[in-house]
Amino acid sequence: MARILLIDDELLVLESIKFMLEDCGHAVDTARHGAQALYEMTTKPYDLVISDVVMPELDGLQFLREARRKYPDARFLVISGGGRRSVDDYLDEASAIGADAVLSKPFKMDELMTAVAAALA
Amino acid sequence: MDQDANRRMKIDFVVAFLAIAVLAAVFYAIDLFDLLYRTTRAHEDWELDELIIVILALPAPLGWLAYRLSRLSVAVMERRLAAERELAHARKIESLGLLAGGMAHEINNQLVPVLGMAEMLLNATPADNAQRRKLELIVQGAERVRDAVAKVLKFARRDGGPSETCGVTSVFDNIEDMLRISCPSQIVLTIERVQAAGRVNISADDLESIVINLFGNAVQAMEGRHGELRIVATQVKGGADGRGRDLPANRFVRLVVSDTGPGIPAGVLDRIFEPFFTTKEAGGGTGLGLAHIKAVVEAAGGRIDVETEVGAGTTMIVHIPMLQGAA
Repeated sequence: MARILLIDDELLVLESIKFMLEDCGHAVDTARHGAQALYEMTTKPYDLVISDVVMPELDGLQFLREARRKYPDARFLVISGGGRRSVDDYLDEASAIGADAVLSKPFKMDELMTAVAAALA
Repeated sequence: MDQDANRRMKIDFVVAFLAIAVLAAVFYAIDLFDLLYRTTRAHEDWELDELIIVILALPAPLGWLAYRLSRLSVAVMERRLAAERELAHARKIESLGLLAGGMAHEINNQLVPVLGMAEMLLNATPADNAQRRKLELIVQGAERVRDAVAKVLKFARRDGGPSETCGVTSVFDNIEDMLRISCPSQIVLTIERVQAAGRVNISADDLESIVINLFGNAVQAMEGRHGELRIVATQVKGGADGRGRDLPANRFVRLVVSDTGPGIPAGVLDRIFEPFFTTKEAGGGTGLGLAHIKAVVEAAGGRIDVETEVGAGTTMIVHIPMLQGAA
């Protein structure tokens, strides 16, 4: 079981992924954007942070840069459904700036668990 | 473009001036004044004969100059209009790409609960429960939508990833049998690719989808009738002949797919590369095939052209750059 912080601005997505993670036995906290996540990370330690890319306030890539700088040992899984740029572009950039694993939305349960395991490995 | 027009205008002025001088000299040499004097009832006090001769010589070169200038200004205007049309078209494609990207993002996000929750329910449902099949259908449907959206996103992609390459021969090896099997019996299919042995600047998936798409369009164009479909892949050098004249002088693989179908009427021809434009019946096509091919080919530095004649058939000509030093 891992303590996971999940960040996504879409409530439906946030709740669904939370269900999927909890179903596999993980403990999940949630945040709606990067700025909120940075605050949550100061309150308790997490084994893994799962972040969307396109979000208001502080987007996933800006958040990852900031969080990676503050918490060099933290583990990050970046998820994206694309946007102005393609999914691959976002995820490639996330990998380049320090994501431990990446995953494109939507995903099946086993794909999510494989990505979580890869990020924690 | 306008510099070229300026240069041509200067040349026209010089030519007109020389023409006036030459005509004046000729008229003077043959003594046109005397000729006119003798053959007409000219006034006896004509003295400025040279001047009169020059004035007589003016209309022809000036008329020619006016004609040339009007032609030139029409050509410049046409080129500007064409450039404006091209720009408007590019903006439209760009905004459609952004729209497609935005829609894909929205759909991908909303598919997370559909796919994820249906699968969770499926996992929690006993194997002998009759409701399982319904949940399986939701999962399968969501997966299909995910694949379709991935295709749209691929089209919306503008800056691409690292460029891939592929061998033309191996791509044809992979798909030639499939093309022959799927070609209706009333269509005579000819595939020639003897000279196209090199590597080109796009991925094997993209080259396969280009050939299969153009093949599919040709088959559909000849639907239900006898005809001939030719797929020819050759190596050419840009500028080698009329078809490649606008290409830089690199080596290209030229893929020509021609059919003897009904051809493409003028109103449709202008729009065939637009995303979501299709002449196929509902469910027959997304209207993304040719738009995707054009985007892929142009991103690789190539181009796609179409030659068509109503009643005679259509030929699609694709030029894809070959790798430097490739055999």
